[in-house]
Amino acid sequence: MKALALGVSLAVATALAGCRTAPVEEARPGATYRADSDEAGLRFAMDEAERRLRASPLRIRDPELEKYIEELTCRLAGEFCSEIRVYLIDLPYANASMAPNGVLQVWAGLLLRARDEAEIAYVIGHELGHYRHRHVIQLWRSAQRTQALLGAMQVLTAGVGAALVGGALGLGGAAAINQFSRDHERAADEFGFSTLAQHGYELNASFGLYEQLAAEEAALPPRWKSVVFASHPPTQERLADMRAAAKSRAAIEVSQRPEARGQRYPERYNEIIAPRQAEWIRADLSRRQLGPSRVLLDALLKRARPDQQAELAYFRGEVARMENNAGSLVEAEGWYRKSIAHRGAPPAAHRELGLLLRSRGRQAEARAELARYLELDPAAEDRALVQHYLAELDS
Amino acid sequence: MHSFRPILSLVLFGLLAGCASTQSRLADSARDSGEKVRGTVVLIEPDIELSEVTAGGSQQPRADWTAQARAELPPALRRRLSAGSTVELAAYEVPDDLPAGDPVRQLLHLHRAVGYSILRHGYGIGRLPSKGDTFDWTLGDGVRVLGAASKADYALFVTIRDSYTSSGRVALMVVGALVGVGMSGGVQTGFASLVDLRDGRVVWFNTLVDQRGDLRDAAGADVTARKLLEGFPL
Amino acid sequence: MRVRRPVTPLRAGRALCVVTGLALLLAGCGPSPLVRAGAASAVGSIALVTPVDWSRSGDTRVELWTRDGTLLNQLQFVGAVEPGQHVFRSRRETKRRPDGPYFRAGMNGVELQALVLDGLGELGAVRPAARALRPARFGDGESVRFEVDTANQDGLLYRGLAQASVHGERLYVILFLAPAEHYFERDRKLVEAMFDSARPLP
Repeated sequence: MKALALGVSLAVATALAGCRTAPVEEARPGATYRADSDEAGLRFAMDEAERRLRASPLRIRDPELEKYIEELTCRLAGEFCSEIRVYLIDLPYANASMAPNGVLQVWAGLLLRARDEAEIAYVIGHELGHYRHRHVIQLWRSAQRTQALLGAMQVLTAGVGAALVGGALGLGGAAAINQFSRDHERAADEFGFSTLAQHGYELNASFGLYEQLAAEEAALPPRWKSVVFASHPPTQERLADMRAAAKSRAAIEVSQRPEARGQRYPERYNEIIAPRQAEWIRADLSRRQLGPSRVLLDALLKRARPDQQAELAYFRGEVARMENNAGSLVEAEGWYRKSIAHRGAPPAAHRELGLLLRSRGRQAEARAELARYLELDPAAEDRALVQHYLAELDS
Repeated sequence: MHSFRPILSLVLFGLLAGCASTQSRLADSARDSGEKVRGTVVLIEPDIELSEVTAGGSQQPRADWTAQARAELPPALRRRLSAGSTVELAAYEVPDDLPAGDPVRQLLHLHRAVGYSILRHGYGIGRLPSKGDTFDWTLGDGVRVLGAASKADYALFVTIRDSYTSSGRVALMVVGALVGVGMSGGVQTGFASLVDLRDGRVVWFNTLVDQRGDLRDAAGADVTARKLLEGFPL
Repeated sequence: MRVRRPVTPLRAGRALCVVTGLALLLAGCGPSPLVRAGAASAVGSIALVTPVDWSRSGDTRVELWTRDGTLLNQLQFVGAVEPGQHVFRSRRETKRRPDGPYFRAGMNGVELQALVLDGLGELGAVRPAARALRPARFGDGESVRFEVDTANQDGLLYRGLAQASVHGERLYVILFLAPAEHYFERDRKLVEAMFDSARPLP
């Protein structure tokens, strides 16, 4: 009876829906609404998007890091410096984008993957190229889709990351909007090269990041599309373009100024980035795309300083653990042990080793590692659970 | 984060709400006590966005229209409120770069969440079975921080999203919103709420339905202000 | 004399849905939308006691309860997640789509916490983080409870309480989220009591 009554009342509601259509008013005579240009509307939309971006919970607020990237951007932008505003975004994807109103976004995933200042300088220079040549305005004109552009500009939450993780490019609008033509990309690359050359950076710094991302993408399961390239999917031809251009430009530079090989400033860059690295790697692992994460960590391990090995070995162990296939747990154990063999290993390496040993029935060893973990990190957030496990192991 | 399913009922709720005879609601406590607003009411910077509905049906935000509405509505609200009452309407502009955890900022975000919840569940078939017709929404007594910052007894919030075709206005509809989604484009709504800055109660709430005021000039803003303030406990 | 089968809320709901096509379309089939204070059940597999009324929606796998609207408080139940299944959604891990927050048999408490957090991140929560991970009683397997800190897209800070428990080799998740400003503290104690009372339905 109850459902029947409910059904009836809903039917009534549907009928009443008819009363919602109000007549559209005619334009009023003498109205003085200025017809604005389409670009003003776009600019307004972008300024609103920037307001939200400024307040976004995903914005990285790290004064030292922000200052470093802002100063770098200002140098590279030269006469445009005052028009550019830099926003660092805490999302684990290798992305940088420039909006027509001067908003430059640089995502954490990019900062994590760049090996030195020159690589970041190239990316920023490339984005400045898009800004300089007003590519986005051209695209927008042809697309006439402010909303899609807004979506591309807004900081989207990890929910966007989720769409990417899910394999479908949920950023449909953004991906479409950011499909700059090959000509656009070449022009921006050219600007990137000029920027590097002008500021004394090594030109070969231009394509290292893209090679890294291509390697990560290759490690994805076949069905997933360009997940790692949030904004600029590099086709093979683009990569070839870039390599060729970089080599020919480098050849010209070297022939003209043989003594100037170009700088990369790895120490300066890594000193700024190092405090954030663990957090960003953890965020990368939270995406649960283990193939790319494995490729990323192998690359980081290869170029890491000795004092970074322990932390990276631990995260490499985490990847192996999450992969959870034949042999990967043994591999994980190896990585955790490698980590704790170094001084300054993350305490969590002991915990994970202990939990692994516990699951394999090696109770005495597990006990030792879990106890060591609590010794090293007395304020651990999971202390209560680990103590519970220790009590179980004791009994 | 999940939204309340089924989605269809949200649309229906919106449609049904438009045919209700009164849209404004008083908090149960205010209704029972016959509470009237005295003292200072601070108008929190209205959240207004006006768009143009293109021939293709998409919405383009209009800078000039929005700027006009943001300029016209507050004075219209002030005129309406002060006519025949001692209520003083002050202005409060939200600083742009407040840190994420700042209490004032969190209260403004919370108000947005409360406002949407009232829109969704304060009317018609959107009512929550466990809550029924009770109107006791609140921001909690953390609002005292906002009271201290604005030096007011009450805060008036106004949110408007409105669309106009190039030849006129499209009628406003009240539609439920999804969790935490920013209100840019595609959503048409208008609501006003009055919050007691001593204890956080939403004392009065009103939705803009079928309003005909064109926010782009003073006369239209006046009509909108009158409709928005219907049932305001003066 | 006909023997009557006990009419559970779920069964009654289904019977009524068959009766009214419109209700089926518009209101959705499922458990009764009102949960009264007292003994209650969720997702057909979790029994608990609630000191207050709730409004609920959902189906046999996921339920969402609220008191003031899901933006202001949401209590989510996920029932009987099988190994290989996503922690919140119904999809499964496949060869073509490996990786993701999929439940696995034998996960320890730290892994269960990470599973819930990563699943939350996928749903749109901003930088979900956990605190105070501890064991919790539920069924016959690994069971942990922890606090959650996160934010929504606007920047409204949320706090939460989560429990992930294995029973009969299936995962059960209970998750409460509310704005950090006022709403979480208001309901914290009563929600904690509800968590404490939760047990698998036989």
